[in-house]
Amino acid sequence: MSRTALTEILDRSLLDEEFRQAIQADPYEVFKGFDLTDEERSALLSRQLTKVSDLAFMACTIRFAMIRNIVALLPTLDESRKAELQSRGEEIARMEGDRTEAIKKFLAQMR
Amino acid sequence: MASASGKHREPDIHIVGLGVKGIEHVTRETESACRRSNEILAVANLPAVLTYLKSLCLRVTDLHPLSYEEDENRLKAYDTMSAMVLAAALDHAPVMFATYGHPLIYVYPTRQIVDAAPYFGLTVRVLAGISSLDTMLIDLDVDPAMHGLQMYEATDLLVKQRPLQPDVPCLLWQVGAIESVLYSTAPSRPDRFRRIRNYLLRFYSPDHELRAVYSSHHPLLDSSIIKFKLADMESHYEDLHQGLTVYIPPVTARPVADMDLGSKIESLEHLQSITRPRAS
Repeated sequence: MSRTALTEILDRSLLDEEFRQAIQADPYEVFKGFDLTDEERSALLSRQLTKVSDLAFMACTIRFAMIRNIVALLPTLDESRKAELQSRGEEIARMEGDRTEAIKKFLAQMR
Repeated sequence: MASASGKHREPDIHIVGLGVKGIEHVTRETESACRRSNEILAVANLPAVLTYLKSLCLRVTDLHPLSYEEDENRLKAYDTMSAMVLAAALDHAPVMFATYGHPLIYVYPTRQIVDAAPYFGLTVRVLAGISSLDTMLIDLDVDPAMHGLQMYEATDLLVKQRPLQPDVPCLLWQVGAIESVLYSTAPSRPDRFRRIRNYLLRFYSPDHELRAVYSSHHPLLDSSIIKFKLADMESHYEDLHQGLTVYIPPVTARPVADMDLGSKIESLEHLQSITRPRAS
């Protein structure tokens, strides 16, 4: 349950300006109302980004790391295939229902 | 995006950057576009950001859990994200693709959506956001006006053997994910950083101090900066996670090479020789 308390503090302080100001004014007092471990309380009081992120798990570091993403050697579009892609794009646009899978294939064809 | 009548036409897809520090960096321009969207498809760095987006738009889709698979090429994940945004736009435009940071800095799906949209008859507008480049310049107290700035994606640097200028500050992005384009949450081995260390040793001394910077993404937390010598890079393998960027300070300042021009840059006479008289 403690992990939930930490995540709740992080989430609520982003969305609730008064709550955040209360933490900044007197963190000890605010944290008394949450089921934090000593390690979590200490990390929050020290404002240590990496430590808090690790403790909060999905709330910060792991999630953040997973979405920082771009790679070397990205593919570029072959200009000679534009007419073919145009025709296929128009075909997909006219389709009924969910087009997601068709567009995924289209994007792969662009490479 | 102006039409022939001069009216501002709404695009089918807005692509926006939400900034780095939770919702603190969301611009008013982005917020306004959120309110006009029928759906926001988001890659957010904190769950609370999704809650915030739901206060602006009834339909918010978190793309993150739908998109990545362990040990897979990241391009598959990007294809899924981009396809969902394009499909949503064909179905119920206007929609928004919202990502943390800046939408055109290290965000491949943006590139895909911009390139592919015209084939489906869709229009796109990209709005600027605060990037981690912006926050890192603050964290590192670096102004690019002083010595310039060079920055590279770490794997790209190695693969292409790009030359580095030791007199120019350098940012190496994605060092924690170096040497692979596959998506993985597995922690790195020390060996992962041997090749990059050896490459950097061609340009910098073993004692040169590097900084691993991880900008704060929450107002309750401070940015993290870890200093280490280039020679010790491998031993910092646990610190070099995927969220951070390595900063290499310049070794020396480059001296003036064009003495003639250097002597003229404060001269009023020279300024008048390269400008036209103001219209009265």
